[in-house]
Amino acid sequence: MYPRPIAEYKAPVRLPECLELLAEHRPETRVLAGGQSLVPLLKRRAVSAQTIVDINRVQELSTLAEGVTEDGQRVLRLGALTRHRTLAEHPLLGTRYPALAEAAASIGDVQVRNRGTIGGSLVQADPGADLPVVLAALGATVRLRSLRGERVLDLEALILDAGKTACDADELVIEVDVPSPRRGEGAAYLKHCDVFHIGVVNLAAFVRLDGEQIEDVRIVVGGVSGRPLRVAAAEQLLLGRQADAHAIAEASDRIGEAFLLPEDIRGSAPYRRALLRAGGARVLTRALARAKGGEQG
Amino acid sequence: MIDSGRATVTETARSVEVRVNGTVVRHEVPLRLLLVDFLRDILGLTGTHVGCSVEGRCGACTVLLNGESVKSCLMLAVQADGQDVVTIEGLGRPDALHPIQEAFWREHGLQCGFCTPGMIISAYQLLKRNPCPSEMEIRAGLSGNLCRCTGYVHIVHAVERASEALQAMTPEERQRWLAL
Repeated sequence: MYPRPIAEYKAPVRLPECLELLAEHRPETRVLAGGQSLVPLLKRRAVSAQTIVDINRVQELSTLAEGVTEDGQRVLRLGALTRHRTLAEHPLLGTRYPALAEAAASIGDVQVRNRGTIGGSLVQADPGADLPVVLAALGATVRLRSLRGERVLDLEALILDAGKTACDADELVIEVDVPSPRRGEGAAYLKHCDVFHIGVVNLAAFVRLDGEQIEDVRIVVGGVSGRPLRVAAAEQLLLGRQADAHAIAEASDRIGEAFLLPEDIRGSAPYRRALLRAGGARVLTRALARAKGGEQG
Repeated sequence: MIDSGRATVTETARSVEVRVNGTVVRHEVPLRLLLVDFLRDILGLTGTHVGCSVEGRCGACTVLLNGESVKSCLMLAVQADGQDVVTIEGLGRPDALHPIQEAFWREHGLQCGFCTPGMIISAYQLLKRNPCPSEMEIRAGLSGNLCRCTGYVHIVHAVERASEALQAMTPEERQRWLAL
């Protein structure tokens, strides 16, 4: 199938021009980044575009660097146009942010990762998406900019439901800040796919250890709801506790039991429960190993 | 999907200039024209195939954009303005097959041949980035290309054979075959 007729195509090279175009609030204006979500939607005619704003030539959206924010936080700053392939293969991510690299490497396929972007993934807010889950676990924040100003949202505030975000029509996601790892921190990501390589459940865990004790923990699950969900019951069980196999097993049980699970052709609820329990154990084990082993992020 | 109450939108066209298989072409294209349809219907390069309808999952449309494999059915032709595209026709010639094409032939890495151009472009991308891939790496590297005929076994053999052939060459010769 083919997209409906498109009236206007703009390919600005500078960010202010993008924001000006979005501020015009022309009907059916769509931002085109990697196109791996938008173009299928246009072809399916689930979405129409009268004006396409192609942001692929905006160099300032492609930054990737560790630095310090205005309020003194050490972060990895990722421009919205950072491609999934870059996240999956960049040595900085492989060494210091392995959970993020793992999640990016799980996305789609080679061709999708060559084009797809972190900004696009966030605004698409597919409930099965990889990056929102791991970014939530890592405590990342997202910067949105418009001609009206700028705001910074965490993942929970940004992603509201399947395909629905807090990003306004005149706003652009410009960058994502991922807190840089500190000693004793570790994170991991896992996705279980069906035969078509479509995610059934995905999980991410972040832990911070103080000696042998779990000082902080975030466990995020995707694919069970319209948006990534924290597993508070499992987190509360682990806080302040010794990081041992027993704790992991108990926490994994909680992860399995935490949600009312969907039943569809990808799996029954009991199957998904088993996946969440096993997947939960694996990400927690790996995150803890990274936290102990000095292997970071 | 039913078009309901949408205001009529004037179809707009735009001039694009694209280097395709080494030759610069210039054309007026409707904004909504997909890159795959530009290649096939306007340029007559029908080696690139359309194998699925809306999702972009099958990979039969895979081409190289600035040296990277992309699904040309998930791009608008206008996005290729000023860019470099290589299709299967640009990989080798009938009298001088690319080592990957030669390997697909020798290992019978195709049956109907519909997925094959995209599969070969993806194999090219794989071998350029990972010259000696394991079987699992080959299968993962080609996961964006679906084949309904072969069960992938001979495709994997073809990529292994291509890898061996390229490795057996001098670095200069190998570089010439992987310069796209």
